[in-house]
Amino acid sequence: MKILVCDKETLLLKLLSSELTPHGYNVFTADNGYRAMTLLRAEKPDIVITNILLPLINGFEFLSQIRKINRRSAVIVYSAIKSEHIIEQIFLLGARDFIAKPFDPEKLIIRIKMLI
Amino acid sequence: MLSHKYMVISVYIALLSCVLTIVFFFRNNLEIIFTTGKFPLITNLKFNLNEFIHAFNQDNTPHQVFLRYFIALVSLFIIICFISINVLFILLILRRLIKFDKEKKDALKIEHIQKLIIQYLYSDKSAYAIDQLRRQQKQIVVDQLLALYVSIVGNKARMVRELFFSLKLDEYVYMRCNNYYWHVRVKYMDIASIMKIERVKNIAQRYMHSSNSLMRTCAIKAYLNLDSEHSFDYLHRFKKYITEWNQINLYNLIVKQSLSVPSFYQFLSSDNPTVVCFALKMIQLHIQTERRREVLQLLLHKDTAVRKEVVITIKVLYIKEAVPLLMANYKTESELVQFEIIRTLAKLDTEESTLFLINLLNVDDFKFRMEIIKNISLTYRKRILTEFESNKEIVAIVKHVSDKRIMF
Repeated sequence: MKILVCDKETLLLKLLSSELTPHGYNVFTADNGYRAMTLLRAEKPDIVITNILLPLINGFEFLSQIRKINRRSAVIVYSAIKSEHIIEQIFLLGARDFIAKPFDPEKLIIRIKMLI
Repeated sequence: MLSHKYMVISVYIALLSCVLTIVFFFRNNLEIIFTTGKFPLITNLKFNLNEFIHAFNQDNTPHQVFLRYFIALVSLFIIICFISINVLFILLILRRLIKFDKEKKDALKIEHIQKLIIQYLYSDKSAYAIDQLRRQQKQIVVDQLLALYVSIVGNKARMVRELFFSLKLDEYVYMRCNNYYWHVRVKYMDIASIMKIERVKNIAQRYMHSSNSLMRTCAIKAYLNLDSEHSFDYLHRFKKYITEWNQINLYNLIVKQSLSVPSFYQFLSSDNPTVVCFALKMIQLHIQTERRREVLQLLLHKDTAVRKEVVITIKVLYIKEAVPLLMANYKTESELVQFEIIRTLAKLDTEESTLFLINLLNVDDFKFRMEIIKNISLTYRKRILTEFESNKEIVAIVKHVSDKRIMF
């Protein structure tokens, strides 16, 4: 199963990749919106885990692009912004789950398994 | 600061090299021009320029000599400008190249440090990773660990914090908190408050009364984070002005860091009016009603901002006992507080407060009439319409305020 993780913090990307790979997932990482879009088109991931604040392409735009490019991908969004309005918008754009930052990377697996 | 230094050094080197170049290349010619007032002949020249120069040198009228000196000076100026621009250009390119090279090296260092951190967190070679991380640039390690620590919780966050302390980065942060430059102190005090380095509390306490408001805010934030038991005690001794910005930061801290909220009534006796205002705002936000009568004593405070905040607090805490006091103080108050009293009396909505407000409509002032009618409850507006039927202004205001298309 392919997972695409997007965040501007490269160390967090490495951490999430190290967390998910032992569980048998094929993890791709992107540290900006453009790279995320390229990987989304090329790899067609089953799950996309993304921060709402991304460099170059805003997270909301990225979410709407996921719907156009690969409707099959389930999206988990995480963010430090917990405003109700933003969470509502995230779900309207097709996200399946929202995680408030900071989060426990070890518990991310449970969220992913719930989506599958 | 550093870029300014570079600029000054660059300009200095540019000027120095220009002067040296001119002295080296033109030392003979300049001497000839400025002693004889004539241009030297250029050897190995195949054009007829020498003939022209010769003819130009023949005429010794003052006007011609002046013209020769002038041309010489202008040429010199152009040459200096040309060389200076070239030198500056070369220096800028060199600086850029050095910067790119540094960025590249930094990126590689960051990559290596990140690899080591992941190795520490996920492999059994953690001792090796710690040993390697000790040799890395501390500033980069601190930045990387902090960026990760603020994003995660749980077991991995605990491991990151343990790594931070085992690398003795707390000592490094403590040292940087004592730095000469305030912006460095601010940055590292923030880090100390996130990583909970308790020894930084003493430094934070020292800068809590700094004249630099940013430094002050950051020190207060760090102190509140590091000493959650007595977090707000400093307000008893606080002499500086607490700006609105500081107040927002403090409130955010209380909410985000889940600090224990003390009874803010203890700060109402402070000599600092901004502390009293902040305490009143906190009483409103946390709806602390246990000693609400104490608020009424501040209605006679010497500071207008405090009196205004007291009136707002009365409105928020719904202290009906304050109505007679508010009515008594109304006439002697400043316009700002009077408006607030009107809003509060309308909100308290007792029989006597409403009658008081209706009577105030007799004062011929549009602003006050507007404020009263806007805030008074809907049922009384009809009464006002019948009572002041002949007053066109009041009738117009009531109709305007009651218009459902306009939101107040």
